[in-house]
Amino acid sequence: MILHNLKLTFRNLLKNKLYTTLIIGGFSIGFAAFILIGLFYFTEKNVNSGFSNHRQIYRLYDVKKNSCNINYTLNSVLATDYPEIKNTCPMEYYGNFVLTAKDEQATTSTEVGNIISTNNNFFDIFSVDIVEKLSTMPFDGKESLVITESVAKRLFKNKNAIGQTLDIGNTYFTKSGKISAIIKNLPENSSFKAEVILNSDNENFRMSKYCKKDNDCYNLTNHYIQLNEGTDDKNFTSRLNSTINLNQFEVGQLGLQKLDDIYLSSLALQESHNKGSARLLNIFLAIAVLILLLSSINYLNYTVSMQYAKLKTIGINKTNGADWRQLIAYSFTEVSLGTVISVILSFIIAFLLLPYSEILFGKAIHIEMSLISNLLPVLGTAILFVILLNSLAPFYLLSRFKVTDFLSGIRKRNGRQIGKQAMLTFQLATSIALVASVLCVFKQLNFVKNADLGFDKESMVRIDVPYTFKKQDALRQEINKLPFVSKSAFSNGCPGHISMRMGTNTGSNDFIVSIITIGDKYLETMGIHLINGREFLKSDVNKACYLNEAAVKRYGFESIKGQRFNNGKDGGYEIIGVTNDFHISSFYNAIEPVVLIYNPDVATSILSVKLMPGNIGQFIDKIKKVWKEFLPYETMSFTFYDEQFQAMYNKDDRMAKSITFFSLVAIILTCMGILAQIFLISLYRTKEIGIRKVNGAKLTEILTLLNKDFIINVFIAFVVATPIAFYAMNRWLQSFAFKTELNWWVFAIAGLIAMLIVMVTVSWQSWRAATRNPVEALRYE
Amino acid sequence: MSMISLRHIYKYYDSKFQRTFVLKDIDLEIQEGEFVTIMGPSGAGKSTLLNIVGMLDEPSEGEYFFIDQHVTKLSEKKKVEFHRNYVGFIFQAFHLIDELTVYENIETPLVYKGMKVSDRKSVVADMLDRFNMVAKKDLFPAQLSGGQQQLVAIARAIAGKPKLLLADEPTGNLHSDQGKQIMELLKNLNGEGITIIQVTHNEEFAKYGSRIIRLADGLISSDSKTK
Repeated sequence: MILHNLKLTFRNLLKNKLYTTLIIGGFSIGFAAFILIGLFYFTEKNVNSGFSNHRQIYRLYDVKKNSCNINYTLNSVLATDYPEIKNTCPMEYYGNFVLTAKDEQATTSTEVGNIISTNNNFFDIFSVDIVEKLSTMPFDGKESLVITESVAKRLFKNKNAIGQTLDIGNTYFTKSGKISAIIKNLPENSSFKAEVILNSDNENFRMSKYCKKDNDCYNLTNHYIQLNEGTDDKNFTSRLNSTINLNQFEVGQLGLQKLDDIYLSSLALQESHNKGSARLLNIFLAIAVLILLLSSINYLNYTVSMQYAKLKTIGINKTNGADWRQLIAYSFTEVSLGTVISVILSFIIAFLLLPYSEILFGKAIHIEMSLISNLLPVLGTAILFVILLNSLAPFYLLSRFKVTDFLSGIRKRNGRQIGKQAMLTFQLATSIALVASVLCVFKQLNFVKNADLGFDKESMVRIDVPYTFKKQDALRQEINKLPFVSKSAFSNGCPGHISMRMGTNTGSNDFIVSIITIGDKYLETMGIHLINGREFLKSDVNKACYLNEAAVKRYGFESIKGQRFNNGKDGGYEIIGVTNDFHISSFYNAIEPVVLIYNPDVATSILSVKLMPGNIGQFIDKIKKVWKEFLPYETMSFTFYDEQFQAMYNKDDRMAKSITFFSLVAIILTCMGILAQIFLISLYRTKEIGIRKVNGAKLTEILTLLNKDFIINVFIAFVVATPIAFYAMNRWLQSFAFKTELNWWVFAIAGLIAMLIVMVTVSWQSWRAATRNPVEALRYE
Repeated sequence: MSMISLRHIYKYYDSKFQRTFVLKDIDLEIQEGEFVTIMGPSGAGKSTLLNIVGMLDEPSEGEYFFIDQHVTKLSEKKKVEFHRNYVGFIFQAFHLIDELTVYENIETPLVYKGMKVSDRKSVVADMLDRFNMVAKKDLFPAQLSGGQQQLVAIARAIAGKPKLLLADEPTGNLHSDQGKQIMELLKNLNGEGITIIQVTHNEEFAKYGSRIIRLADGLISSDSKTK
C-alpha cells in the first residue's frame, strides 16, 4: 500500500519535470534560508550558554550610572558577607588594543587580542577545564598568569609551557608573569573572550583606575557572582541594596544582569563585551517567517493544482474499491514525499552555505549539540506545519469529490480562485516591501557615509602616537616638510575617538560635554570653521577654549562674551570663540556639545595630517619613514577619518547585505511561484486559448488576457506593501539622529522592479501558450 | 432469490425551480449469471442506473437489495466493502492510471483489498497469462492500443473475482474488430458465472446479452430476452 503510493507519487513528480523542479527547488531554497536564519538566531540566543552554570551567573551593574565598572574592593565584601552568593570574581578586560606575548627562552611572540584579569574563583564560576597546573589552584602567587591551550601551542609548540615566564606588553605598558596553569579554550560563543588570564590579586594587573580630585584612587572592574541554586535574584538584589554601604563603593544603586542576557541586552553599560542586537535578530526572525510563508504558499499552490489534476486518479481508485482512508493516505504520501525531498535538499544547501555564514550574518556559525537541540523542534514544527497545511487541500477536495461527476466527465474548476490570487498578492507585496526596504537602507547608508561631517574628512589621516613619546613638535615639523602634506595638528581625542567626557555641573541644565584638547593649527588642519571669536594666542595655553555651536546652544548663552567653561581644572577656561558643529560620533547620535581646549603640552596623542590628492599609499609609506626615525621600535598605527566614520556603520552594512541576500531569496521564491502559476493557467486555458484563436483573437489579445491578472496583482501588492514598508523604514530611520528622506521614488522603483520581474516571468510562458497551434490545443478533450 | 433487486428507484436533481428526473420508478430484478444489456438514447439514465447498481451512486428514493443486503441502508464503509468484493467496473474511456504499468494497474484493486504481496503476485500472473499480456506487463497504458488497454481494464476489473461486472459502453472507443473481441471475452466471462450488466449503443453488441432492457427518459420502456 505505502509502496504503491510512493511509486505513484514518484512517477507523478517525474512526469512534470520543470514544474516539479520549480516547486521542490523553490521550497528547498526557502527552507534552507529558514534553517540558516534559525541557526543564526539560536547561536545569538545561546551566547554564554556554553558555561554550565550560566543560569546562576550574574553581573553587577550600577543602575544609576549605567555602568558595570564598579570599585574593585566591592568584590571581597560580596564574597564574605552574602551567603546567597556561592562564588564571586572580578573581571577586567583588555581587548581594545593588541597585546604581544613574548617568551624569552623560545623568543617567539604571538599577538593576543583578549586578556582578562580576575581571581581563582573565575575558574569555578565559569567551569573552566584546566589542562595542567602548577599547584592546587590555577593562579599560584601574585605574579602568576594562565594561558589557553591555543596560546600555549602558538608560543611553545610542543614544549612545556608551565612555569615559563611571559612578557606582555605594547605601546602603553609591559608586564610579566609566570605561567601557572594552562586551560582549555573558553567557549567560542560567549560575550567575552580570554586567551591570557592575569591574577587580579596583583595590583599591577589591574588596569583601569578612577581618581577623585584629592588623588584618592581606586580600581574599577566588572563583578560576576554565582548565586546558590534556588536564590531569587530580585529578592537578593533588594537585600543587597539595603544592606551594603553604597557610598563606600561610589555606587548609585546595584542591579543584577543575567549572564545569558548580557549579549542581547539593550543596556549600554560602557563595557567591553561582544554585543549583539536584539532588534536585528527580530528582523531576521521576521524574514525567516516570511520566507517560510512564501515557500509554503508556492508549495500549497502546487499541491492544490496537482490535486485537481489528480481527480482522474482519485476517481479510478475509487471505482477500484479504494475507501476514503486509502485516498487520504495516497494524497498525504504525495504531499509529504515532496516536502521530505525538499527538506533533505534544503539541509544540504544549508550545510553547503554554512561556511559562508560569516558573510551572511557577520558571525560564523558553528554547529553544536545545544544549537541542534534548540533548532530541531522548530524545524520539526515548521515541517509539520507545511505538511498539515498542504494536507488540507486534498482533505477539502476529497470531501467534495463526487465519483459520479468524474464518471460523467465533469471537470469543475472554481472560476476566480480568490485564495490563489490572495497568496500571489501576498508574495508580491512581500517582495515589494523587501525591495523598498533594501533600497531605503542603502540610501541611508550612502547618506551617512558621504554626508558632510562638519570637518574635512577627505585624505585626512589620524596617527596614534604613544603617550611615552615626547618629541611631538619635531615629529610634526618633519612630517610637515613632506611635500604632499598640506597641514597637520596634534590633539587629545578627535572626532570619532573622544577620550574625555565630563558633566558641566550646571545644576538643572547639567549635561555631558566631550572634550578635545588641541594643539596649534588644529582648526585649520581639520577644516573646522571659527564662526566668531579670535585665534588662540601663546598666552591662552591651558586657559582658553572654543565651544561648538551645539554647546553654546545647550548652555543657553546669548553671547560668549565673558563666559567661562568651569570644568576640568580649578578656575576653568575662558571661552574665546565658537566653531561650527561637527560630528564626533555616528549619525545615530545628534550633534554633541564639544569643548576644544587649547593646550599643546597635553595634546600629544593624536596627530591629524591632511594629505594632498595623489597616491595615498606612497604618501603613507613616506610618513612611515619619518615615523621610523623617531620611533624605530613602534609600528605606526593610523586610520583615515572617512574610513573611521564609515566603520561605525559596519553593523548596518552587514545588516544591509544580509537583508539584500534574503530579499533576493524572497524574490526568487515569488518568481518561482508566478512561473508555476502561469504554467498551470496556460495549461488549463489551453482550450480557451484555442477557441479564442480559432475565432480570430490576435496574439496581443491572448497575451493581454493571460498577463492582465498578474499586473492587477502587482498593483494591489504595491498598494498593500508601500504603507508597511514605509512604516518599517520610518521606524528604522528613527534610530538615526540624521536621516535621509523617505522619497516616494524608493517605493515606485520597488513597484517597478516587481512589475518588471512579473512581466518577464509571465511573458515567457504566456508567449509559448499563445503561439501554440490552436488545432493542436483543441484536439485534446 | 435474485442477485439484484431494485424497487421504486428514483434519481432526481433539485434545482431552484424544478426537479429534474434521471430515473423514474425503476423496478428491476437481475438473477445471478445473467448477461444484461441496457440500451437507450443519451440522457436516458443508463449510466446512472449502472452507477447505482455498482454502489457508486445513491438513489434519491427507493430500495436496492444486493444478494439480500439492503444496500440503501448500508453504511459508507460497508458499501465500499461490498463494492470491493463483489463488483468490477469497466469504462468506455478505460480509466487506467497513466503512471502505473499494466502489471501495477491490474494489481490496484487487490492493493485496496489488502491482499498479501505473494497472493497478489499469483493473481496478477494468472490474469496476465489468461489475457496473453505477460510480455506487456511492464508497459504503460500510453504504449498500448485501445483494445489492449480495455483488456487490461477488464483484467483489473475481474482480478478481485467479483460476482458482478459492470461495463459502461466498453466498446465505445474501439474499432469494431476490437469491440467484437472484447464482447467475446465478456461472453466467456459470463459463461464462467460472472453476472454482467453492460450499457451500449451498438445493436450488434447488445445481442451478446441474454436480456435487453431499454430505457427512455428514465423509464424502462422494454425488457426482453434475446432469441
